[in-house]
Amino acid sequence: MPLRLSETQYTVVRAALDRTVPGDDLTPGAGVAGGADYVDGLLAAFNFDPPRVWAGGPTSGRHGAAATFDQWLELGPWEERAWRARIEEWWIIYETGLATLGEDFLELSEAEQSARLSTTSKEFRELLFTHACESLYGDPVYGGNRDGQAWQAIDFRGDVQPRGYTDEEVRAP
Amino acid sequence: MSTPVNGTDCDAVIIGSGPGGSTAAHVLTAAGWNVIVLEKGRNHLLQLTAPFAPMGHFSNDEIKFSQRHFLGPDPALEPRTFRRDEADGDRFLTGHVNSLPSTVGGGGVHADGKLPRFREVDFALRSELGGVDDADVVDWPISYADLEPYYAEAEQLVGVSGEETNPFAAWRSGPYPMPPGADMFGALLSSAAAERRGLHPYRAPTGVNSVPYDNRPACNNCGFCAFYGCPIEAKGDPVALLRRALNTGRAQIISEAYASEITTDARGTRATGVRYLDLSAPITDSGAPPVHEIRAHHVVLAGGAFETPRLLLINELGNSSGLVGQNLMFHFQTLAVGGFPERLWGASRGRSVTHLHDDHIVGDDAQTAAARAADLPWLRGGIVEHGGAAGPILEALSYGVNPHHAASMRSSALRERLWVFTM
Repeated sequence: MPLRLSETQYTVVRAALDRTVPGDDLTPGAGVAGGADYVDGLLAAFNFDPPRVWAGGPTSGRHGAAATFDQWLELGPWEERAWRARIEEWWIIYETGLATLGEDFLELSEAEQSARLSTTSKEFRELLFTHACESLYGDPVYGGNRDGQAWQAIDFRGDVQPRGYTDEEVRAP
Repeated sequence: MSTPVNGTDCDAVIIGSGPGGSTAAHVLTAAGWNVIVLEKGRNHLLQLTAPFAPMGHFSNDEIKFSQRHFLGPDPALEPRTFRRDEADGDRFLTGHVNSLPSTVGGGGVHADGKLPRFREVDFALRSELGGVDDADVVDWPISYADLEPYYAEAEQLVGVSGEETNPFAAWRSGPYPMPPGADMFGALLSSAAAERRGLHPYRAPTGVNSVPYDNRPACNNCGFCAFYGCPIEAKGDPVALLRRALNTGRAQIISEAYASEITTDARGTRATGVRYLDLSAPITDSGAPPVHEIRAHHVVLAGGAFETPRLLLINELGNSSGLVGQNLMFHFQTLAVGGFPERLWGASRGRSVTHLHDDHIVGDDAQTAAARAADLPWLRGGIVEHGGAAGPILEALSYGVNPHHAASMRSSALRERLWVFTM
Protein backbone atom coordinates (compact mmCIF):
# COMPACT_ATOMS: atom_id res chain seq x y z
CA MET A 1 0.00 0.00 0.00
CA PRO A 2 1.71 3.21 -1.09
CA LEU A 3 1.91 6.00 1.46
CA ARG A 4 1.05 9.01 -0.66
CA LEU A 5 0.74 7.94 -4.28
CA SER A 6 -2.49 6.21 -5.29
CA GLU A 7 -2.22 2.55 -6.24
CA THR A 8 -2.47 3.55 -9.90
CA GLN A 9 0.09 6.35 -9.58
CA TYR A 10 2.44 3.95 -7.81
CA THR A 11 2.37 1.40 -10.62
CA VAL A 12 2.76 4.12 -13.26
CA VAL A 13 5.76 5.56 -11.40
CA ARG A 14 7.30 2.09 -11.24
CA ALA A 15 6.90 1.57 -14.98
CA ALA A 16 8.11 5.10 -15.80
CA LEU A 17 11.21 4.55 -13.66
CA ASP A 18 11.92 1.32 -15.55
CA ARG A 19 11.66 3.18 -18.87
CA THR A 20 13.92 5.98 -17.56
CA VAL A 21 16.72 3.82 -16.10
CA PRO A 22 15.97 0.42 -17.58
CA GLY A 23 17.37 -2.87 -16.40
CA ASP A 24 18.81 -5.74 -18.39
CA ASP A 25 19.55 -9.36 -17.63
CA LEU A 26 22.18 -8.44 -15.02
CA THR A 27 20.86 -5.24 -13.41
CA PRO A 28 17.29 -4.54 -12.31
CA GLY A 29 15.47 -1.50 -13.66
CA ALA A 30 14.98 1.41 -11.27
CA GLY A 31 11.28 0.60 -10.88
CA VAL A 32 11.58 -3.16 -10.48
CA ALA A 33 14.21 -2.58 -7.78
CA GLY A 34 11.83 -0.57 -5.61
CA GLY A 35 12.14 2.91 -7.08
CA ALA A 36 8.42 3.60 -6.65
CA ASP A 37 8.85 2.93 -2.93
CA TYR A 38 11.72 5.42 -2.95
CA VAL A 39 9.59 8.10 -4.64
CA ASP A 40 6.51 7.36 -2.55
CA GLY A 41 8.60 7.33 0.64
CA LEU A 42 10.17 10.67 -0.23
CA LEU A 43 6.82 12.29 -1.08
CA ALA A 44 5.46 10.93 2.23
CA ALA A 45 8.59 11.70 4.26
CA PHE A 46 6.61 13.86 6.67
CA ASN A 47 4.17 11.06 7.46
CA PHE A 48 6.86 10.06 9.93
CA ASP A 49 8.56 11.66 12.90
CA PRO A 50 11.44 12.15 12.41
CA PRO A 51 10.74 12.64 8.71
CA ARG A 52 12.36 10.13 6.39
CA VAL A 53 14.75 12.54 4.73
CA TRP A 54 18.11 11.63 6.26
CA ALA A 55 18.86 8.09 7.36
CA GLY A 56 20.79 7.79 10.59
CA GLY A 57 24.34 6.97 11.51
CA PRO A 58 26.54 4.00 10.73
CA THR A 59 25.51 0.43 11.23
CA SER A 60 28.75 -0.17 13.04
CA GLY A 61 28.12 1.35 16.42
CA ARG A 62 31.89 1.73 16.41
CA HIS A 63 33.83 4.38 18.30
CA GLY A 64 31.14 5.34 20.77
CA ALA A 65 28.25 5.91 18.40
CA ALA A 66 25.11 3.80 18.46
CA ALA A 67 24.14 1.58 15.52
CA THR A 68 21.38 3.75 14.13
CA PHE A 69 21.38 3.51 10.36
CA ASP A 70 17.70 2.57 10.25
CA GLN A 71 16.74 5.43 12.56
CA TRP A 72 16.07 8.77 10.94
CA LEU A 73 17.59 12.10 11.88
CA GLU A 74 15.66 15.13 13.08
CA LEU A 75 15.49 18.20 10.85
CA GLY A 76 15.91 21.68 12.27
CA PRO A 77 12.90 24.02 11.92
CA TRP A 78 14.27 25.74 8.81
CA GLU A 79 15.41 22.48 7.25
CA GLU A 80 11.91 21.14 7.82
CA ARG A 81 10.42 24.18 6.10
CA ALA A 82 12.76 23.79 3.13
CA TRP A 83 12.10 20.07 2.79
CA ARG A 84 8.33 20.43 3.12
CA ALA A 85 8.36 23.06 0.36
CA ARG A 86 10.68 21.00 -1.84
CA ILE A 87 8.57 17.87 -1.46
CA GLU A 88 5.35 19.76 -2.21
CA GLU A 89 6.95 21.14 -5.40
CA TRP A 90 7.91 17.59 -6.36
CA TRP A 91 4.42 16.35 -5.52
CA ILE A 92 2.92 18.82 -7.99
CA ILE A 93 5.45 17.85 -10.65
CA TYR A 94 4.65 14.16 -10.12
CA GLU A 95 0.86 14.69 -10.13
CA THR A 96 1.07 16.69 -13.35
CA GLY A 97 3.51 14.32 -15.01
CA LEU A 98 1.57 11.21 -14.03
CA ALA A 99 -1.64 12.78 -15.33
CA THR A 100 0.10 13.29 -18.69
CA LEU A 101 1.29 9.68 -18.72
CA GLY A 102 -2.32 8.61 -18.18
CA GLU A 103 -3.88 5.68 -16.42
CA ASP A 104 -3.51 3.56 -19.57
CA PHE A 105 0.29 3.89 -19.39
CA LEU A 106 0.69 0.32 -18.17
CA GLU A 107 -1.22 -1.02 -21.14
CA LEU A 108 1.25 0.48 -23.61
CA SER A 109 4.24 -1.30 -25.10
CA GLU A 110 7.67 -0.25 -23.83
CA ALA A 111 8.23 1.79 -26.99
CA GLU A 112 4.87 3.47 -26.59
CA GLN A 113 5.65 4.18 -22.93
CA SER A 114 8.89 5.87 -23.91
CA ALA A 115 7.04 7.92 -26.52
CA ARG A 116 4.43 8.95 -23.96
CA LEU A 117 7.17 9.90 -21.50
CA SER A 118 8.62 12.25 -24.08
CA THR A 119 5.35 14.24 -24.04
CA THR A 120 5.76 15.08 -20.34
CA SER A 121 7.52 18.21 -19.12
CA LYS A 122 11.31 18.40 -19.05
CA GLU A 123 10.98 19.16 -15.33
CA PHE A 124 9.14 15.88 -14.73
CA ARG A 125 11.54 13.80 -16.79
CA GLU A 126 14.57 15.30 -15.04
CA LEU A 127 13.07 14.69 -11.60
CA LEU A 128 12.14 11.13 -12.54
CA PHE A 129 15.65 10.47 -13.84
CA THR A 130 17.27 11.91 -10.72
CA HIS A 131 15.05 9.83 -8.47
CA ALA A 132 15.64 6.74 -10.62
CA CYS A 133 19.41 7.10 -10.20
CA GLU A 134 19.18 7.88 -6.48
CA SER A 135 16.83 4.99 -5.78
CA LEU A 136 18.68 2.39 -7.84
CA TYR A 137 22.22 3.21 -6.73
CA GLY A 138 21.56 4.66 -3.26
CA ASP A 139 21.26 2.83 0.00
CA PRO A 140 18.33 0.38 0.20
CA VAL A 141 17.20 2.01 3.46
CA TYR A 142 15.54 4.69 1.28
CA GLY A 143 13.31 2.16 -0.46
CA GLY A 144 15.03 1.53 -3.81
CA ASN A 145 17.92 -0.78 -4.74
CA ARG A 146 16.02 -3.64 -3.12
CA ASP A 147 18.32 -6.06 -1.31
CA GLY A 148 21.25 -4.12 -2.79
CA GLN A 149 20.68 -5.80 -6.17
CA ALA A 150 21.96 -2.86 -8.22
CA TRP A 151 25.05 -2.55 -6.00
CA GLN A 152 25.77 -6.24 -6.52
CA ALA A 153 25.52 -5.72 -10.28
CA ILE A 154 28.17 -2.98 -10.21
CA ASP A 155 30.20 -4.63 -7.43
CA PHE A 156 29.70 -1.75 -5.01
CA ARG A 157 29.55 -2.56 -1.32
CA GLY A 158 27.84 0.55 0.06
CA ASP A 159 28.24 0.98 3.80
CA VAL A 160 31.29 -1.12 4.62
CA GLN A 161 31.58 0.01 8.23
CA PRO A 162 32.92 -1.20 10.53
CA ARG A 163 35.31 -3.42 8.57
CA GLY A 164 36.17 -1.13 5.69
CA TYR A 165 39.09 -2.38 3.58
CA THR A 166 42.51 -3.55 4.65
CA ASP A 167 45.52 -1.56 3.47
CA GLU A 168 46.34 -4.45 1.15
CA GLU A 169 42.88 -4.31 -0.42
CA VAL A 170 43.46 -0.63 -1.15
CA ARG A 171 46.97 -1.03 -2.57
CA ALA A 172 46.33 -4.15 -4.64
CA PRO A 173 42.62 -4.79 -5.09
CA MET B 1 44.58 36.28 30.64
CA SER B 2 41.13 37.62 31.36
CA THR B 3 37.83 36.42 32.71
CA PRO B 4 34.36 37.58 31.75
CA VAL B 5 33.45 40.78 33.56
CA ASN B 6 30.12 42.44 34.07
CA GLY B 7 28.41 43.22 30.84
CA THR B 8 30.08 40.52 28.80
CA ASP B 9 29.21 36.90 28.16
CA CYS B 10 32.69 35.66 27.35
CA ASP B 11 36.23 36.66 26.60
CA ALA B 12 35.86 35.88 22.94
CA VAL B 13 32.99 35.06 20.66
CA ILE B 14 34.11 33.05 17.66
CA ILE B 15 32.01 33.12 14.49
CA GLY B 16 32.39 29.79 12.75
CA SER B 17 33.27 26.31 14.03
CA GLY B 18 35.37 25.10 11.09
CA PRO B 19 39.14 24.65 10.95
CA GLY B 20 39.78 28.33 11.79
CA GLY B 21 37.22 28.74 14.54
CA SER B 22 38.02 25.42 16.16
CA THR B 23 41.71 26.30 16.26
CA ALA B 24 40.94 29.66 17.86
CA ALA B 25 38.66 27.94 20.38
CA HIS B 26 41.41 25.48 21.33
CA VAL B 27 44.17 28.09 21.65
CA LEU B 28 42.06 30.57 23.60
CA THR B 29 40.56 28.05 26.01
CA ALA B 30 44.01 26.55 26.60
CA ALA B 31 45.10 30.05 27.59
CA GLY B 32 42.27 30.22 30.11
CA TRP B 33 39.77 32.28 28.16
CA ASN B 34 36.06 31.56 28.05
CA VAL B 35 34.77 31.38 24.50
CA ILE B 36 31.44 31.00 22.74
CA VAL B 37 31.54 29.50 19.24
CA LEU B 38 28.65 30.40 16.92
CA GLU B 39 27.87 28.07 14.02
CA LYS B 40 25.10 28.77 11.53
CA GLY B 41 24.59 25.11 10.66
CA ARG B 42 23.38 22.08 12.56
CA ASN B 43 25.49 19.98 14.87
CA HIS B 44 26.05 16.45 13.56
CA LEU B 45 29.63 16.24 14.78
CA LEU B 46 29.91 15.73 18.51
CA GLN B 47 27.77 15.81 21.62
CA LEU B 48 28.08 19.01 23.61
CA THR B 49 28.21 17.39 27.05
CA ALA B 50 31.16 15.42 28.40
CA PRO B 51 32.72 13.22 27.14
CA PHE B 52 31.74 14.95 23.87
CA ALA B 53 31.20 11.65 22.05
CA PRO B 54 30.42 11.46 18.31
CA MET B 55 26.80 12.19 17.42
CA GLY B 56 26.73 9.05 15.29
CA HIS B 57 25.01 10.84 12.39
CA PHE B 58 27.71 10.24 9.77
CA SER B 59 27.39 7.20 7.53
CA ASN B 60 28.45 5.82 4.18
CA ASP B 61 25.31 7.23 2.54
CA GLU B 62 25.58 8.99 -0.83
CA ILE B 63 21.91 10.03 -0.82
CA LYS B 64 22.16 11.92 2.43
CA PHE B 65 25.49 13.60 1.75
CA SER B 66 25.54 14.29 -1.98
CA GLN B 67 21.84 14.52 -2.87
CA ARG B 68 20.02 15.81 0.22
CA HIS B 69 22.16 18.67 1.54
CA PHE B 70 22.87 16.92 4.83
CA LEU B 71 25.87 19.08 5.70
CA GLY B 72 24.32 22.17 4.16
CA PRO B 73 24.02 24.71 2.92
CA ASP B 74 20.57 23.85 1.64
CA PRO B 75 20.30 26.04 -1.48
CA ALA B 76 16.69 26.80 -0.53
CA LEU B 77 17.83 28.25 2.79
CA GLU B 78 21.16 29.77 1.87
CA PRO B 79 20.98 30.41 -1.87
CA ARG B 80 24.37 31.43 -3.24
CA THR B 81 24.55 33.63 -6.27
CA PHE B 82 27.16 34.23 -8.91
CA ARG B 83 27.63 36.80 -11.63
CA ARG B 84 30.46 37.12 -14.10
CA ASP B 85 30.23 40.88 -14.26
CA GLU B 86 27.71 43.67 -13.87
CA ALA B 87 26.17 42.91 -17.26
CA ASP B 88 24.65 39.79 -15.69
CA GLY B 89 22.47 41.95 -13.41
CA ASP B 90 22.09 40.88 -9.81
CA ARG B 91 22.82 37.26 -10.54
CA PHE B 92 23.73 34.91 -13.35
CA LEU B 93 23.15 31.78 -11.31
CA THR B 94 21.50 30.91 -8.01
CA GLY B 95 22.03 27.67 -6.15
CA HIS B 96 25.13 25.73 -5.26
CA VAL B 97 27.87 28.26 -5.91
CA ASN B 98 31.13 27.71 -4.02
CA SER B 99 29.16 26.08 -1.24
CA LEU B 100 31.04 24.93 1.83
CA PRO B 101 29.36 22.87 4.53
CA SER B 102 27.10 24.79 6.89
CA THR B 103 27.52 22.53 9.90
CA VAL B 104 29.45 22.25 13.16
CA GLY B 105 33.00 21.60 11.98
CA GLY B 106 32.49 23.57 8.77
CA GLY B 107 34.48 22.61 5.70
CA GLY B 108 36.68 20.29 7.73
CA VAL B 109 33.82 17.81 7.99
CA HIS B 110 33.59 16.95 4.30
CA ALA B 111 37.20 17.58 3.32
CA ASP B 112 39.40 14.56 2.72
CA GLY B 113 42.02 16.40 4.74
CA LYS B 114 44.94 16.94 2.40
CA LEU B 115 47.12 19.26 4.48
CA PRO B 116 50.31 20.29 2.67
CA ARG B 117 52.21 23.31 3.97
CA PHE B 118 52.95 26.43 1.99
CA ARG B 119 56.52 26.76 0.79
CA GLU B 120 58.99 29.52 1.69
CA VAL B 121 58.48 31.32 -1.62
CA ASP B 122 54.70 31.42 -1.14
CA PHE B 123 55.23 34.03 1.58
CA ALA B 124 57.39 36.25 -0.60
CA LEU B 125 55.99 36.04 -4.11
CA ARG B 126 56.50 39.70 -4.92
CA SER B 127 60.09 39.93 -3.75
CA GLU B 128 61.02 36.54 -5.20
CA LEU B 129 59.09 36.57 -8.49
CA GLY B 130 58.02 40.18 -9.01
CA GLY B 131 54.75 41.99 -9.56
CA VAL B 132 52.26 41.36 -12.34
CA ASP B 133 50.43 44.14 -14.16
CA ASP B 134 46.73 44.39 -13.22
CA ALA B 135 47.20 41.94 -10.35
CA ASP B 136 47.90 42.43 -6.66
CA VAL B 137 50.96 40.39 -5.85
CA VAL B 138 52.24 41.09 -2.34
CA ASP B 139 54.53 39.48 0.20
CA TRP B 140 53.06 38.18 3.42
CA PRO B 141 54.04 40.19 6.50
CA ILE B 142 55.42 36.96 7.99
CA SER B 143 57.77 34.34 6.65
CA TYR B 144 57.60 30.58 6.52
CA ALA B 145 60.12 30.48 9.37
CA ASP B 146 57.74 32.53 11.51
CA LEU B 147 54.92 30.10 10.84
CA GLU B 148 56.79 26.79 10.92
CA PRO B 149 56.36 26.13 14.68
CA TYR B 150 52.62 26.66 14.29
CA TYR B 151 52.42 24.30 11.32
CA ALA B 152 54.19 21.72 13.46
CA GLU B 153 51.81 22.26 16.38
CA ALA B 154 48.72 22.15 14.15
CA GLU B 155 49.87 18.92 12.53
CA GLN B 156 50.29 17.37 15.99
CA LEU B 157 46.87 18.58 17.14
CA VAL B 158 44.92 17.55 14.05
CA GLY B 159 46.96 14.41 13.47
CA VAL B 160 48.60 14.47 10.05
CA SER B 161 50.02 11.40 8.35
CA GLY B 162 52.77 11.90 5.80
CA GLU B 163 56.40 11.43 4.84
CA GLU B 164 59.26 13.73 3.88
CA THR B 165 59.85 12.69 0.28
CA ASN B 166 58.58 15.75 -1.58
CA PRO B 167 61.72 17.47 -2.96
CA PHE B 168 59.85 20.77 -3.31
CA ALA B 169 58.50 20.91 0.25
CA ALA B 170 59.61 23.53 2.73
CA TRP B 171 61.91 22.49 5.59
CA ARG B 172 60.37 20.94 8.67
CA SER B 173 61.42 21.05 12.30
CA GLY B 174 60.22 17.50 12.87
CA PRO B 175 58.60 14.49 11.28
CA TYR B 176 54.90 14.03 10.62
CA PRO B 177 53.11 12.61 13.65
CA MET B 178 51.99 9.53 11.72
CA PRO B 179 53.28 7.52 8.74
CA PRO B 180 51.25 7.72 5.48
CA GLY B 181 48.11 5.63 5.12
CA ALA B 182 47.52 2.99 2.46
CA ASP B 183 48.41 3.94 -1.13
CA MET B 184 45.43 3.73 -3.47
CA PHE B 185 45.97 1.34 -6.38
CA GLY B 186 45.26 4.02 -8.99
CA ALA B 187 47.71 6.37 -7.31
CA LEU B 188 50.45 3.76 -7.52
CA LEU B 189 49.84 3.56 -11.29
CA SER B 190 49.69 7.32 -11.78
CA SER B 191 52.69 7.96 -9.53
CA ALA B 192 54.79 5.46 -11.45
CA ALA B 193 53.70 7.13 -14.69
CA ALA B 194 54.52 10.57 -13.29
CA GLU B 195 57.98 9.40 -12.24
CA ARG B 196 58.62 8.08 -15.73
CA ARG B 197 57.92 11.61 -16.96
CA GLY B 198 60.48 13.03 -14.53
CA LEU B 199 57.91 14.33 -12.05
CA HIS B 200 58.16 13.89 -8.27
CA PRO B 201 54.98 12.41 -6.78
CA TYR B 202 54.82 11.90 -3.03
CA ARG B 203 52.38 10.56 -0.47
CA ALA B 204 49.95 13.32 0.45
CA PRO B 205 50.11 14.80 3.96
CA THR B 206 46.64 13.91 5.17
CA GLY B 207 44.73 14.81 8.32
CA VAL B 208 43.41 11.28 8.59
CA ASN B 209 44.73 8.77 11.10
CA SER B 210 46.89 6.01 9.61
CA VAL B 211 47.31 4.52 13.09
CA PRO B 212 45.26 5.06 16.26
CA TYR B 213 45.98 8.61 17.39
CA ASP B 214 44.54 11.05 19.93
CA ASN B 215 41.98 8.47 21.13
CA ARG B 216 40.60 8.17 17.60
CA PRO B 217 40.95 5.02 15.45
CA ALA B 218 42.94 4.51 12.27
CA CYS B 219 41.11 5.06 8.99
CA ASN B 220 39.56 1.83 7.70
CA ASN B 221 39.71 2.91 4.02
CA CYS B 222 35.90 2.85 3.62
CA GLY B 223 36.05 4.97 0.45
CA PHE B 224 33.55 7.60 1.63
CA CYS B 225 36.11 10.30 2.35
CA ALA B 226 35.90 13.50 0.29
CA PHE B 227 32.41 15.03 0.72
CA TYR B 228 31.53 12.81 3.70
CA GLY B 229 31.68 13.15 7.46
CA CYS B 230 33.84 10.38 8.89
CA PRO B 231 31.73 7.81 10.79
CA ILE B 232 34.68 6.70 12.91
CA GLU B 233 36.43 10.06 13.50
CA ALA B 234 39.58 9.04 11.66
CA LYS B 235 39.59 12.59 10.27
CA GLY B 236 41.05 14.89 12.89
CA ASP B 237 40.10 18.29 11.55
CA PRO B 238 38.28 19.94 13.24
CA VAL B 239 36.79 17.49 15.73
CA ALA B 240 40.09 17.07 17.59
CA LEU B 241 40.36 20.80 18.29
CA LEU B 242 36.71 21.32 19.17
CA ARG B 243 36.79 18.42 21.60
CA ARG B 244 39.95 19.79 23.23
CA ALA B 245 38.30 23.18 23.65
CA LEU B 246 35.15 21.64 25.11
CA ASN B 247 37.19 19.48 27.50
CA THR B 248 38.54 22.62 29.20
CA GLY B 249 35.01 23.48 30.30
CA ARG B 250 35.58 26.98 28.95
CA ALA B 251 34.02 26.59 25.49
CA GLN B 252 30.40 26.63 24.50
CA ILE B 253 29.24 25.83 20.96
CA ILE B 254 25.91 27.29 19.82
CA SER B 255 24.74 25.76 16.56
CA GLU B 256 21.97 27.11 14.29
CA ALA B 257 23.22 30.57 15.28
CA TYR B 258 23.50 32.75 12.17
CA ALA B 259 25.72 35.74 12.90
CA SER B 260 24.17 38.77 11.26
CA GLU B 261 25.68 41.79 12.95
CA ILE B 262 28.92 42.71 14.64
CA THR B 263 28.20 45.24 17.36
CA THR B 264 30.70 48.00 18.04
CA ASP B 265 31.37 50.74 20.53
CA ALA B 266 29.94 54.20 19.93
CA ARG B 267 32.91 55.23 17.80
CA GLY B 268 32.56 52.17 15.65
CA THR B 269 36.20 51.28 16.07
CA ARG B 270 36.02 48.35 18.46
CA ALA B 271 33.88 45.22 18.14
CA THR B 272 31.87 44.53 21.28
CA GLY B 273 29.94 41.44 20.33
CA VAL B 274 27.71 39.68 17.85
CA ARG B 275 24.01 39.52 17.14
CA TYR B 276 22.76 36.29 15.67
CA LEU B 277 19.56 34.77 14.36
CA ASP B 278 18.44 31.78 16.41
CA LEU B 279 17.57 29.23 13.74
CA SER B 280 16.82 26.55 16.33
CA ALA B 281 13.66 28.35 17.52
CA PRO B 282 10.30 27.26 16.13
CA ILE B 283 9.35 29.39 13.14
CA THR B 284 6.80 32.05 14.06
CA ASP B 285 4.07 33.55 11.87
CA SER B 286 6.29 36.51 11.04
CA GLY B 287 9.02 34.15 9.84
CA ALA B 288 11.60 36.28 11.62
CA PRO B 289 13.94 34.24 13.82
CA PRO B 290 14.63 35.55 17.35
CA VAL B 291 17.74 37.69 17.57
CA HIS B 292 20.17 37.15 20.43
CA GLU B 293 23.23 39.14 21.35
CA ILE B 294 26.54 37.98 22.76
CA ARG B 295 28.83 40.58 24.26
CA ALA B 296 32.50 39.76 24.35
CA HIS B 297 35.90 41.35 24.87
CA HIS B 298 37.01 39.99 21.53
CA VAL B 299 35.28 38.92 18.34
CA VAL B 300 36.99 36.30 16.18
CA LEU B 301 35.80 36.09 12.58
CA ALA B 302 36.33 32.53 11.35
CA GLY B 303 33.53 32.15 8.85
CA GLY B 304 35.70 31.15 5.94
CA ALA B 305 36.71 32.87 2.72
CA PHE B 306 33.14 33.87 1.82
CA GLU B 307 31.24 34.42 5.03
CA THR B 308 33.93 36.42 6.83
CA PRO B 309 34.29 39.03 4.06
CA ARG B 310 30.50 39.10 3.71
CA LEU B 311 30.04 39.86 7.40
CA LEU B 312 32.66 42.60 7.24
CA LEU B 313 31.16 44.14 4.12
CA ILE B 314 27.52 44.14 5.29
CA ASN B 315 28.66 45.58 8.63
CA GLU B 316 30.96 48.09 6.88
CA LEU B 317 33.85 47.10 9.13
CA GLY B 318 37.54 46.39 8.78
CA ASN B 319 37.89 47.45 5.17
CA SER B 320 40.18 50.47 5.29
CA SER B 321 42.27 48.77 2.61
CA GLY B 322 39.31 48.32 0.28
CA LEU B 323 40.58 44.78 -0.30
CA VAL B 324 38.03 42.81 1.74
CA GLY B 325 36.33 40.33 -0.58
CA GLN B 326 38.65 41.15 -3.46
CA ASN B 327 41.09 38.82 -5.27
CA LEU B 328 39.34 35.76 -3.93
CA MET B 329 40.26 32.48 -5.55
CA PHE B 330 38.27 29.55 -4.24
CA HIS B 331 39.18 25.97 -4.96
CA PHE B 332 39.84 26.78 -8.60
CA GLN B 333 40.44 23.38 -10.09
CA THR B 334 41.56 22.10 -13.45
CA LEU B 335 41.01 18.42 -14.11
CA ALA B 336 42.66 15.92 -16.40
CA VAL B 337 40.99 12.53 -16.40
CA GLY B 338 42.13 9.20 -17.75
CA GLY B 339 40.20 6.03 -18.54
CA PHE B 340 41.72 2.66 -17.68
CA PRO B 341 41.04 -0.86 -18.95
CA GLU B 342 40.96 -2.28 -15.42
CA ARG B 343 38.97 -1.33 -12.33
CA LEU B 344 40.99 0.90 -10.05
CA TRP B 345 38.57 0.93 -7.10
CA GLY B 346 39.46 4.57 -6.61
CA ALA B 347 35.85 5.58 -6.01
CA SER B 348 35.18 3.04 -3.30
CA ARG B 349 38.36 2.24 -1.39
CA GLY B 350 40.80 4.49 0.38
CA ARG B 351 40.84 8.19 1.19
CA SER B 352 39.91 9.74 -2.18
CA VAL B 353 43.43 11.04 -2.90
CA THR B 354 46.72 9.59 -1.65
CA HIS B 355 49.43 11.11 -3.86
CA LEU B 356 50.37 14.61 -5.00
CA HIS B 357 53.04 16.27 -7.08
CA ASP B 358 54.28 19.85 -6.88
CA ASP B 359 56.42 20.09 -10.03
CA HIS B 360 54.09 22.56 -11.77
CA ILE B 361 54.40 25.01 -8.88
CA VAL B 362 58.12 25.17 -9.49
CA GLY B 363 57.69 25.11 -13.25
CA ASP B 364 59.94 24.18 -16.12
CA ASP B 365 61.06 25.61 -19.47
CA ALA B 366 57.67 24.91 -21.06
CA GLN B 367 55.94 26.82 -18.28
CA THR B 368 58.31 29.74 -18.72
CA ALA B 369 57.65 29.73 -22.45
CA ALA B 370 53.89 29.63 -21.85
CA ALA B 371 54.18 32.63 -19.55
CA ARG B 372 56.14 34.52 -22.17
CA ALA B 373 53.59 33.65 -24.85
CA ALA B 374 50.83 34.97 -22.60
CA ASP B 375 52.83 38.14 -21.99
CA LEU B 376 53.12 37.37 -18.29
CA PRO B 377 56.31 37.73 -16.25
CA TRP B 378 55.79 34.30 -14.67
CA LEU B 379 53.31 31.47 -14.25
CA ARG B 380 52.88 29.12 -11.34
CA GLY B 381 50.77 26.02 -11.28
CA GLY B 382 49.38 24.31 -8.21
CA ILE B 383 49.61 21.05 -6.36
CA VAL B 384 48.33 18.15 -8.46
CA GLU B 385 46.20 15.54 -6.72
CA HIS B 386 46.12 11.95 -7.96
CA GLY B 387 42.64 10.76 -7.08
CA GLY B 388 39.56 8.69 -7.76
CA ALA B 389 36.06 9.57 -8.89
CA ALA B 390 32.79 10.01 -6.97
CA GLY B 391 30.04 7.60 -5.97
CA PRO B 392 27.64 5.51 -8.05
CA ILE B 393 24.70 7.95 -7.89
CA LEU B 394 26.77 10.76 -9.38
CA GLU B 395 28.04 8.34 -12.02
CA ALA B 396 24.48 7.21 -12.80
CA LEU B 397 23.37 10.84 -13.20
CA SER B 398 26.24 11.53 -15.58
CA TYR B 399 25.12 8.91 -18.12
CA GLY B 400 21.72 10.52 -18.71
CA VAL B 401 18.67 8.66 -19.95
CA ASN B 402 19.89 5.96 -22.32
CA PRO B 403 18.96 2.36 -23.05
CA HIS B 404 22.41 1.08 -22.06
CA HIS B 405 22.49 2.76 -18.67
CA ALA B 406 22.79 -0.51 -16.75
CA ALA B 407 25.71 -1.74 -18.87
CA SER B 408 27.45 1.64 -18.56
CA MET B 409 27.20 1.42 -14.80
CA ARG B 410 28.67 -2.07 -14.73
CA SER B 411 31.65 -1.17 -16.91
CA SER B 412 31.98 2.06 -14.88
CA ALA B 413 34.10 4.10 -17.25
CA LEU B 414 33.33 7.23 -15.24
CA ARG B 415 33.88 5.80 -11.79
CA GLU B 416 35.92 2.67 -11.16
CA ARG B 417 37.92 2.94 -14.40
CA LEU B 418 38.53 6.65 -14.07
CA TRP B 419 41.53 8.38 -12.56
CA VAL B 420 41.76 12.12 -12.09
CA PHE B 421 44.58 14.62 -11.86
CA THR B 422 43.31 17.77 -10.19
CA MET B 423 45.34 20.96 -10.05
